Amino acid sequence: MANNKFVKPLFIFAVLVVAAGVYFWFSGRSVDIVNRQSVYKPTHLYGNNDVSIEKIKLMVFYAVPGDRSGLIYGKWREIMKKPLEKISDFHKLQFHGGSEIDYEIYPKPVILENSGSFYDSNNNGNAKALKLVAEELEKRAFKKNGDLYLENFAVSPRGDYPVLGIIYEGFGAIGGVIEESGLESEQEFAKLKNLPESVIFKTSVESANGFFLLSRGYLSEPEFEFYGQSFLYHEFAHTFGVQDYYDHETGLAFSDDIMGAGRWRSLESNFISSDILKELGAMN
Amino acid sequence: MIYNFDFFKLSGRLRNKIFFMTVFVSVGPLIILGFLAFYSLNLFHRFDIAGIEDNLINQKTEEVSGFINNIIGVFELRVDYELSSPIASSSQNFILNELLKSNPALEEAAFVNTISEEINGERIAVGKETAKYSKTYPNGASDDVFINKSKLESFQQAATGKIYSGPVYYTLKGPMISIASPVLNANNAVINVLTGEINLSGVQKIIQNSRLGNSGYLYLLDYDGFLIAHSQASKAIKTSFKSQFFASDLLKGEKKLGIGGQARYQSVWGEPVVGAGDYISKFGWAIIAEWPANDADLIVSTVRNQIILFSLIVFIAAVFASVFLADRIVKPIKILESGTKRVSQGKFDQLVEIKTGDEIEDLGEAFNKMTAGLKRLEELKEEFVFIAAHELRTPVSAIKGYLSMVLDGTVGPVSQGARKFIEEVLVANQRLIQLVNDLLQVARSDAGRLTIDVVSLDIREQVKTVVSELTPLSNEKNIKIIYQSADVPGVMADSVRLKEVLVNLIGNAIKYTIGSGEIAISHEVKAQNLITHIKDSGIGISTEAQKKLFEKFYRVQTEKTRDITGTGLGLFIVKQIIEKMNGKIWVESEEGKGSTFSFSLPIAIS
Ligand SMILES: [Zn+2]
Repeated sequence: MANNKFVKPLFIFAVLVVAAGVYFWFSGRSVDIVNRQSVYKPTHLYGNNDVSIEKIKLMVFYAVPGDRSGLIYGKWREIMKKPLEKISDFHKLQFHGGSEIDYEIYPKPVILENSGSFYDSNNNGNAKALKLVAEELEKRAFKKNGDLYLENFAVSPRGDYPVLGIIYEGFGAIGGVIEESGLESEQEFAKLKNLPESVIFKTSVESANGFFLLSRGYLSEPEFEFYGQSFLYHEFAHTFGVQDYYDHETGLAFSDDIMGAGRWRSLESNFISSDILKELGAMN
Repeated sequence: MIYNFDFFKLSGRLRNKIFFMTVFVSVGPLIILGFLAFYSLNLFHRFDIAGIEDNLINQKTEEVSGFINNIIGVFELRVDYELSSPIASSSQNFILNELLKSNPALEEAAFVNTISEEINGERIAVGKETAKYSKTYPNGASDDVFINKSKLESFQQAATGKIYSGPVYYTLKGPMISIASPVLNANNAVINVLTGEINLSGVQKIIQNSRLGNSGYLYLLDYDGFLIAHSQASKAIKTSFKSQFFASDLLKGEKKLGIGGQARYQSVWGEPVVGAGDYISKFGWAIIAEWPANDADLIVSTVRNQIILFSLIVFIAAVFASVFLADRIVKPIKILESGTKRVSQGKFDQLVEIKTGDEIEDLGEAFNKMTAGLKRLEELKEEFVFIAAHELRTPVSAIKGYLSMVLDGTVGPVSQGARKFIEEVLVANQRLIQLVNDLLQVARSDAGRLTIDVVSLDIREQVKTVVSELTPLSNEKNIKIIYQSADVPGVMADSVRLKEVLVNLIGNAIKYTIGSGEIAISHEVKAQNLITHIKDSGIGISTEAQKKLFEKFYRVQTEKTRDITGTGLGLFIVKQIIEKMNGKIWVESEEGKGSTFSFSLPIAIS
């Protein structure tokens, strides 16, 4: 048949048309490059990536020494709630979402067994009160036979990292990591865990990994209005091992953030420096 | 125009050639043009996207830089005295108050002491704040919150005379940066450091006010890859972009602008995008514009679909046009072809009718003129033959009459010798008369003037008459004529013409039998016809010759027939007559074994 000589060019022609169509249909739709996979690293204790702090359970008590029950602040709950909410937001923002606080306030003020002079010490942070109150709370509120034990308090998952917060009817602002084993000295423990020695407290508290104490006044008195919340977070930051970024002798700060000079700033305009966040695994 | 859909059977070579060539010629350029259109469309589109994204990036980079530089500019303080003493306390407070009032983005501003000497009997530590205003302390902070900044990098750098701008930090009030600027005296000595915290909410507003197509967006990353601002609030994410290749390249200082810098990739939000970006070296930031590919390519897709649709329509149109064109060219050629066939058969009456309005129509007309010319030639020839034969008849008849009278002795005695010659002349003249009669007969037949008058008659009478007339001739050659005249029905025929036919056929049988032989005449009734067979034992006719036997002027040319005279018109005339009488004539023959001529005539209905 005479048509045969037309069939071949016609076929090539048709193939070209189809190929052109396919090429133009898909050109300009391709995705040139695929993202590199990033390796996920959880946030962790300051300088120690063995202990995760992605979920922090903060259990807060209003602790009043036996002889100061008359001083119980009427709106104690209200003055705690707003700052705790604030520091939770601040924490999440600083960690770029890498760590979150789930706080719970013990439903009533805790009247301590002893008078204020039993707990208070001379040092300005009031480390003695922190340890003693924490130990007492451990015995009375966390042991099943304790007089303050509440079945439904802090039974929900305590997260990766439980923290005990004490709002103290007295003076003090201090916080740190609990060394509970008791075998080593605080110095040895710090070395072992690669943590700053200044934030290690040897005490027999099993229910939490870190704890802090803050005078109730920082949350309620007008003179602390601007930086009281910053103090609260500053002490809380000690509970996962962050050390002070100022010289305890001279008071000279070597950072502008909440662990240094920034503790005098309002929490609203405060921050955690990138140096610290890197130690916490919150950024590379 | 009605399409001949037989076309799709792909018959007719010329038509197919024209069709395929037309399709090639029209669709080939279409495809090439389509290619070029697509190619340039894509290229221009890439340029367009790059242009739009780059414009947005450049404009926003300028706005963001302008925003920060404006504040930094305010911080570059200089006093006109030469003393190396700090600005007076009251002036410090005034300046800070004014700064905060006039710059809403300024969260905090403070003067820091840089002078170690005792001033006015008071020594202030180097690095200690001496005045501070902020959003928290709008009327100035008291000295119990004054900080010693001597260990801070910001202060240290500014104290050496260089402006410091720190990394972005993220507060509940929004992203901020710290700046520190030296305050210089007339001798360019640093007499104070002015520090400030700038809220970048203004930068966020600049980025938020970005438009890129329907769904494109712009975002700004800090040195660590964290999001400072995003034009689409729903896309704000907290984690660092550093692991994303595009952002990480930018943060390393690369520029991704123009058609070469632009890239297509999967965004961190999981969408294929066309991205472009720039590195803002002054702050170590990256600004990125991402345009979802399906939105950015919307125009291209639409235009591409339109081109494909258009091409398809043109292609189909070209196919139909090709069919039409091929038909238009081939049809008149076919008409001409059948015309030439008719002419070759000697039919000049029917004209070809071509109305194409072009050269082919002209060709058709020329063909018709040629046919008319041929027809005229044919008519002239017939007329000539008729006239010539007619004019010859009178003289040859006169010759015959006078010669007969000479032989009869009307004009006196004729010697033996003269008689012999005159008899030869008579025979020759008789042949001439025969020729003239045949020619006239043929001319009449051609001109349609052959008159036939059929009546019912008994063919046996005719046969017997002709046989008895021709018996002397057969006896001379010693040929025996056998006529088996059974009981046959009457036929419809012209008696004179039928006699002519019989004379011709039986005469031929005698003529073409060499030496003695036998001629058998018989009848046969078949359907409504009476067939008459005239069988001879003559020389026979070759198959080749049988085909042309009944044509005008055809004579069988062989060694054996060389001496047999004839006009070559006899059988032609016989055929014309038989057919005029609604009969048929045919021959069966084998060379050397004789021939049988048969003709049929319709049986008369009594
Ligand atoms: Zn501290």
